Amino acid sequence: MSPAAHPLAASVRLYRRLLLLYPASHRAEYGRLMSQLFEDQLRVAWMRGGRLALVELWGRALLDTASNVVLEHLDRWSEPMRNGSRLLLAAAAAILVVPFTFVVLNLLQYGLHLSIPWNPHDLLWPQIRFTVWRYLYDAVIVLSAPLALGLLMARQLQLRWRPQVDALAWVVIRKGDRIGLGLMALCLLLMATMGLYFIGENLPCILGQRLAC
Amino acid sequence: MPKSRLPDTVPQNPPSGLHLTNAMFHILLSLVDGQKHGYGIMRELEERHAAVMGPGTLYGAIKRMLGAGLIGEAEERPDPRLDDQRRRYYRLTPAGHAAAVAEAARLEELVSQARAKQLLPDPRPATGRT
Repeated sequence: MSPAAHPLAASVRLYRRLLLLYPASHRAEYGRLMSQLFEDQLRVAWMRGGRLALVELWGRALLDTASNVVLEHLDRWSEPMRNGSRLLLAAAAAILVVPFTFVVLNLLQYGLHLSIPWNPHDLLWPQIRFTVWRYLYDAVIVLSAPLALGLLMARQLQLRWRPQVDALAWVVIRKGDRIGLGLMALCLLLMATMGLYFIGENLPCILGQRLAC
Repeated sequence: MPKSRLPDTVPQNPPSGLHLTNAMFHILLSLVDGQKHGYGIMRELEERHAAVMGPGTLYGAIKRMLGAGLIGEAEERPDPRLDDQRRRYYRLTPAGHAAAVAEAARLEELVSQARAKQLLPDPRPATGRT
């Protein structure tokens, strides 16, 4: 039997291929150590029980790889959601620009009767002729704040292993930073303002006091 | 029927805040005796018939414990003639020691509760009358 075709050499090669399933960062840090450890296990199994022991070891290795590959990918995916993730914070802040502009300018213009000729809402709304686009416009204005709130809340979550129930679970990180908490409060304020506006605007229609809505 | 719960005195989490898995506790226990490399930890677990874990579980747990400061990489290496220099050695940190103690106390408390419910025999020798 050539050295390359020996079951141990073939097993090592196959295990190194399996390691490719792990995230690259985990592989770079621990791939060599994992492969070396598996090689040690293979050697001991071969000496103890030959091919049968190798089959048993492979069974365990496949289960171990399957569960840990998923765990490492989930862990890597949950990494940006951990405290201090600037990407989610920036995305939420960017999304909030739309409802914030809408609410503030319309409050100033229609609440305080200030003249704002460049109000984007007044410039855009008459241009939108098709009903579908009008619904889409409303949806963007209305759903932006809940979407930003969802991103900010996701930032406060972390995937952790809960040994008490032997399962992965999303855990809420109670400690939040000031900017994140401030933006969450702004989201709630914008949602409340828009909610009140839409109720006030549509209540007469709902109650049948006004026909043209 | 009221739901049973652990008494408040039983520590639920290690001081680092990381939830200790079975594998992590076994690794901490194996490092109590001194620094070891990955294969050394695994061999000790097999000798103690404590747990069988694959490289993925072992190094996944090691990564999380390094991140939580429960273990550290040992700087002192054994004689190069006696060991493979590519191996990494791990040692217990004070936080790791505290976590192992807290987890052992939690398990001890659970066992004593099991004894109180007569799931396990009382280890104290019976005092027979003469």
